[in-house]
Amino acid sequence: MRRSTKARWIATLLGCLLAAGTSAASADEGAVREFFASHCLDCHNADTQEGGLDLTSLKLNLSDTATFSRWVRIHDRLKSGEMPPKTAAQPNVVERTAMTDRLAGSLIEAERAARDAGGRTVVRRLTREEYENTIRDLFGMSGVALVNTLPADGSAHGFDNNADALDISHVNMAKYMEAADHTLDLAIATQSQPPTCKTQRVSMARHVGHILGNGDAVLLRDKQPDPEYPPAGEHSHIDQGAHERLGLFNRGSSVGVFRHEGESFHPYFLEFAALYPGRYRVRASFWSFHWDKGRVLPSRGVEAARLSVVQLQRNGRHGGHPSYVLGYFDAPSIDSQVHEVEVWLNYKDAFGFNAASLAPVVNYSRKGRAMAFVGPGIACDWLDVEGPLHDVWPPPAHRALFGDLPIVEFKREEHPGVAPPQRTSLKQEIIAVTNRPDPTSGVWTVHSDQPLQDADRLLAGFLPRAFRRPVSDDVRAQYVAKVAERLEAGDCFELAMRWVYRAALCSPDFLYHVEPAEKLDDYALASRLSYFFWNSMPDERLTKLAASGKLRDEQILHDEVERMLRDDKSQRFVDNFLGQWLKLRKIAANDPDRKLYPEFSAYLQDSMVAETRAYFRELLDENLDASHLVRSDFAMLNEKLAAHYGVEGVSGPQIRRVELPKGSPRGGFLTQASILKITANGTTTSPVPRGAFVMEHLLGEPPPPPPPNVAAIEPDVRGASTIREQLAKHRSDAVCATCHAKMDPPGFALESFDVIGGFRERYRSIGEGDKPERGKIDPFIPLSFRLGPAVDASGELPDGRKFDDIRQFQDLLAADTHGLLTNLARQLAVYSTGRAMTFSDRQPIESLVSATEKQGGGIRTLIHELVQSELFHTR
Amino acid sequence: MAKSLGRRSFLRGAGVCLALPLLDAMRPAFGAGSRPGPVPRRMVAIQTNMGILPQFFFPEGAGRDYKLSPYLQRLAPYRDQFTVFSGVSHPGVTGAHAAEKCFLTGTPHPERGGFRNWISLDQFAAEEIGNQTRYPSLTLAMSGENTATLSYTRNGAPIPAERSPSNLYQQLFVQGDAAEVEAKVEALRQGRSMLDFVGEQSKRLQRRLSPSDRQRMDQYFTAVRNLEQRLHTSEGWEHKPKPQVDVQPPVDIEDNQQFVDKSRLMFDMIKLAIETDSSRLISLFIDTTVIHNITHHGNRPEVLDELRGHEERQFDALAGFLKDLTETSEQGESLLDRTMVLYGTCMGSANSHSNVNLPTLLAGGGFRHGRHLAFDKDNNYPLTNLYVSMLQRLGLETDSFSTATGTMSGLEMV
Repeated sequence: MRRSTKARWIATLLGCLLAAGTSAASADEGAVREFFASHCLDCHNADTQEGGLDLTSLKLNLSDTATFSRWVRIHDRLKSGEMPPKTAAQPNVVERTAMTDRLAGSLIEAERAARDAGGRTVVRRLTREEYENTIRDLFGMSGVALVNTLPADGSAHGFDNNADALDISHVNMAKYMEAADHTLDLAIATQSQPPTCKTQRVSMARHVGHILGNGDAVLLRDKQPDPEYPPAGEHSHIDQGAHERLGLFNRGSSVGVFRHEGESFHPYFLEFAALYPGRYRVRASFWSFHWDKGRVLPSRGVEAARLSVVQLQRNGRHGGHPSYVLGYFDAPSIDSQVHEVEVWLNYKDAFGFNAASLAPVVNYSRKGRAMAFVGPGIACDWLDVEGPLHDVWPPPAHRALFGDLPIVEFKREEHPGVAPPQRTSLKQEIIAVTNRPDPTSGVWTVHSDQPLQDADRLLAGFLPRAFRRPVSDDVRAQYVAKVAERLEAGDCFELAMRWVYRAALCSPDFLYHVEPAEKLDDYALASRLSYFFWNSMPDERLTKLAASGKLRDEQILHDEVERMLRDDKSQRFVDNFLGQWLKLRKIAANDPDRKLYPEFSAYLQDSMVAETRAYFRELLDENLDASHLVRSDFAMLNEKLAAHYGVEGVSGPQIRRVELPKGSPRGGFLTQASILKITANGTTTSPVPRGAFVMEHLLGEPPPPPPPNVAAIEPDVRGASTIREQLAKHRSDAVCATCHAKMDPPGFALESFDVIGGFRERYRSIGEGDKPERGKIDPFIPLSFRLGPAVDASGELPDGRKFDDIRQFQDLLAADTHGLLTNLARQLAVYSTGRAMTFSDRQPIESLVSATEKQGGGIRTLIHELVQSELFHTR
Repeated sequence: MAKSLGRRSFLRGAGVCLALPLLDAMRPAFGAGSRPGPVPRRMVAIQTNMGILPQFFFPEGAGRDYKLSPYLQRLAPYRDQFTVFSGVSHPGVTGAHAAEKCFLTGTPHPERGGFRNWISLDQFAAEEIGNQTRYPSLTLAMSGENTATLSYTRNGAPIPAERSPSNLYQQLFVQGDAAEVEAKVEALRQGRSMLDFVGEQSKRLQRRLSPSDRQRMDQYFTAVRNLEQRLHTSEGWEHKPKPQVDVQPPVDIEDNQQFVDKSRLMFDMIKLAIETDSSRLISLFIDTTVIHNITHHGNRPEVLDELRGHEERQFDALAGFLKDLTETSEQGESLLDRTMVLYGTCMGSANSHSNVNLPTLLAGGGFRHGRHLAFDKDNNYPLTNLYVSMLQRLGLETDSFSTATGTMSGLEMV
């Protein structure tokens, strides 16, 4: 490079750096000039452009985001000592520090300037999860389902609650109007008395009648085959309808099931589908057995029975899909165990069942059917559903809108010219279901003798709760004026109030987190806390503390965080944070190939997610340090996962803490089956995406995206070559090598795990290979794969440290507790503040991390430090 | 009006009769037929999201004399009515499955943090010509997930798609009685009045916000105003009778495994929507996630066979749709002559998650078809250029859209 260009460039660089940096800088001018000339420009000039970096053409305008991030990378490489390369002459520590400090100063200054110019956008609307939870808590309707009625949110910087991702358009507005209408329909009581609370015993026999007929299930009485309807043997039972009319499926017999759910078989409890949205109590009785050609014997252990809530469509004839899993319940050997749960049901919700821990076995096509079958079965004695449960009437949702105003019959003749509230009569549309709505007569609605005074009083209660902050008299008056206008136009009181409630739920005060620009006020702080830990609005106590100005008190704030984490609602934080930080939401993005992974099941997948959530909860509760993110001496397991991981002595579907045998690589997030599944594609694994995942999500160093026009590797599972061999070609290319040297090693270590997180020493293949050992795979599952080439899980970190296997790699990672904790701090900060962490946030994060480390480095401590920090209290 | 015979049982033997002559609803100022309006130009944009096996899609040879590939063979009767493209993709659109959001937007790098989508082709057109029909556009999907959509607003918000053919039928053809219409109109009015109110509330908040936050709140205000305008337009349409069709409402197929049958059902509804001029801009997201597993075929022959079978049946469904459009005529031209059918996918190879060399074709709509436009496989030609050509064909005076650098080279209008 010509000397003159170089000199000119350095002059410009200095001008920029010094102008933006500290004023007392001129003394170092010569030093900076010397630094870049002697350490950087030989390689990063216009001719050589090493690593694609040409410092002479790199812009110096730090208000440009691309240029800014380039300079951040230069700063980081210098600071970490990665640059200048080891082979070149090194600057001494003083020179290096002086240079990075100067760069950092300029970068922070540039960010501050951008922020002062109004560049940081932070006012943001609720995400759809936040919206749903806020409605649930505002109205006390704990399970009302709204998320799927709203358009999907975008996501930025890894989280969907980020201001950058939360745009709004007419589409969102239209859906908010619908959602508000739906909410108000559910919230407003339309009768003066609650619907009758009934207890209904629901049989599964009718729904599974066809599989009872063909031997995939049997009727049992007193733990023996029901003599009135013996197990199908040489012949199947014909004419299900005739048996049904004889009442054989309705005489309280238990149903023993051998068949797992599948594409064409989704058992559910046919006789009940909820009419009244609300809380219900469910009790179910399960046990398990070993079936030996007609004999009921003790089972192999505690089996898992799954209950789900199924949202039926239309008349239910087309079935439904399991909307969500209610739980996996113990089905112990022979002795019936009764389980009880309370659940919110929506209109047309029914209960589904699955013999979750059984292999997908079918008898209908086999000779001798049930009478020739030997194997495990799960029995359901009965399911009771009781509800809707109402402690008070009208219910809290109605009271939130209308307080204690009386509900009276609306007689048209008494109110000439007044529009009555619209009511649609409730119908049981699901066929074959026996529960029916209560008979009703007349139209009932709230009555007010002094509508405008009542409107003012009710809105004075509702608006501040809905808007999560005090509402001025002036604003309330605008709402009351609308009530007056609607009454004038002929609406009854309920309709007029409904108009303003809908407006409130569509207003920006409800839909947005309204926060002051710099320091959060008390109410904004209360909201930040509640959306962090509950993904929802503050409760009464938080609001009171905010109102009295006490929330900022260090001790009170600490106690509140503890209280919020103890509350059941904090599960929303665990689920939502992990769903995004560790991408758990993507757990079902790929179904594993059935031939390669015949042992995979929905039960295993649900257990994986449960493990990761329970593990995070354990880290929080026990305040464990960040090395546990990647290495642990315990794991959170149930029997299914324990078998999957090769851990002994765990029985039943409940997740519990299990001490791991010495040398087990399990426990930390790094080696949990959920993470290993999410980072694979269902058929094959590749070190690249897995390595990138570890770097981005656990280490906080997202690798740059691949350069354009590089062909991806075409996966091949015919067994001829390993991914490592295919990748070697890639890595030998100099352009690819620098990034892959960082990205691949974690992925290499994780090659010890297959696409469902099982440990492997050899790749599975279809086609070539040896016959596999069965190991822990259920004996009823045919082994449809072969064993191909051996796995090589060794590698070398960019700094030269080597590892032979996953255990050694875990030790290398766990040694950097500081890095792991810093990344977690950053992730939590992004999640809790709803904005990206920038260069200037590094220092505050560093200080809260080091404060945490001084107290033992626990993750709960980290959360407290974050909540107490300036970062959390500022927008 | 010409009759058409549908394949599906519910269509069997039932001709489609329209109560309204075409375009009458849109030009009340003129007597029906007194002056021919401009030729209605339409677009149906379809994406399947799990790739299309390139080895069976791309033909050999370029230009007019190319040799039909196995998949294109399924469309052989319409060879002269479509153009197949190779060596095309959206510049900068990467991110494997994430790219499914960008098929009609062409927005680069959907996988990156801070990604914000751009406006989709159909919505871009709807802003200009959407007011000509009852529905400015129809956003449809055939999917188990309610997030599947091809259409995005100007600020990148996804437009939820209608996934049920029977709901679509209701929306297009079923009108309530007078009281119901009146109630609907009143509801629309109340909706507008409420939007007006909340719009004012946002102005109050504006005063307390910093400049950048004000921009954010402006977005809310714009959303409110846009919706208000839409409700206003709907109110106008509410008084006009919906077209009547002599076709039974369809019965939805719930089983996602039957995605080919589901596609056919959706195609039948789309054809009715076009024929009745209910909308001229339609997007359809065909979600084939049920076969996601086998798209990671790892080159296993039996898996490739299974996948090929599914994909061939999809092309048969498309052929059926083209047939229906060909056999229905409007003012002496076939519907296909006036309807562009874009069919493509966001992945060049699902096995390797590649987002280049996208299998894509365009049928009908008034172009000189019958050719294979082959571009550079290593250095792809922007697919967004095709979109500019399509916008111009729709009558929009624009020479840019998304990442386009011009119109599609080698594709001429009739």
